[in-house]
Amino acid sequence: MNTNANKQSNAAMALEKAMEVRRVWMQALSGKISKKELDAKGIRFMAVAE
Amino acid sequence: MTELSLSAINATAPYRLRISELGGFDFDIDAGLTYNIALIEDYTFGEGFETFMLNVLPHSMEEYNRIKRDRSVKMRRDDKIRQTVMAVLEEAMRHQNIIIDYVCMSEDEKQDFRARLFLRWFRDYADDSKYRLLTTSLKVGDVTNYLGAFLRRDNDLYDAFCAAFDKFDKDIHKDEPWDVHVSV
Repeated sequence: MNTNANKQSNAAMALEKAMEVRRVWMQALSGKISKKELDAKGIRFMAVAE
Repeated sequence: MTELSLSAINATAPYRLRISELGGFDFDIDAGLTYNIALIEDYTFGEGFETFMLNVLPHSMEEYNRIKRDRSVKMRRDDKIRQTVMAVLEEAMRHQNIIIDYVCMSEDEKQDFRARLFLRWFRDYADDSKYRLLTTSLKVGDVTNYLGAFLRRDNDLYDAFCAAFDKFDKDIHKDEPWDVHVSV
């Protein structure tokens, strides 16, 4: 989700950032972005353990 | 450190999860698709909270759309996906201060359905005396997007988060209608 709006609240910018993270995550899932690129973009997950 | 236990989730989830190399968990559904459940750090409501965005997505949207066309009834009735997601959320909410937020996927214009479904899941599973679900919606162009967050009522930052969500809700609607193009 991208906006062309010139004036945006902090909330709008925060939401856009979250949507961008999801867009990147979808690309990663489909194999278009590597784990290394995800890390470089600062995308972090809740830790998992066996 | 807050972490999700795979063995605890697999003890109750109908689909068997495995740790994904990318992040979160992968699982294969009966319709032949691989799904991923990931909880991704999120700062939409501020940096002081332990907030994670829930993402439940097929690895391949192309494959998802293809199978949905071929086997729509079976996909729609797969209750095991719901139970698997709830098993992950139950494990996450074991942690007192975790907050989960979500945006209903709108890529296939089924976000209204997903928002209603999630509300129903929440009502079915969550004890209202223990959990709070906060929701809002946002019109972007012609598309209504649904957002929500839930947390434990004994979260140390319960009041602060509810206030932050309320402020976000008010602020986000100041920008409506958003002058947008959707590129997701």
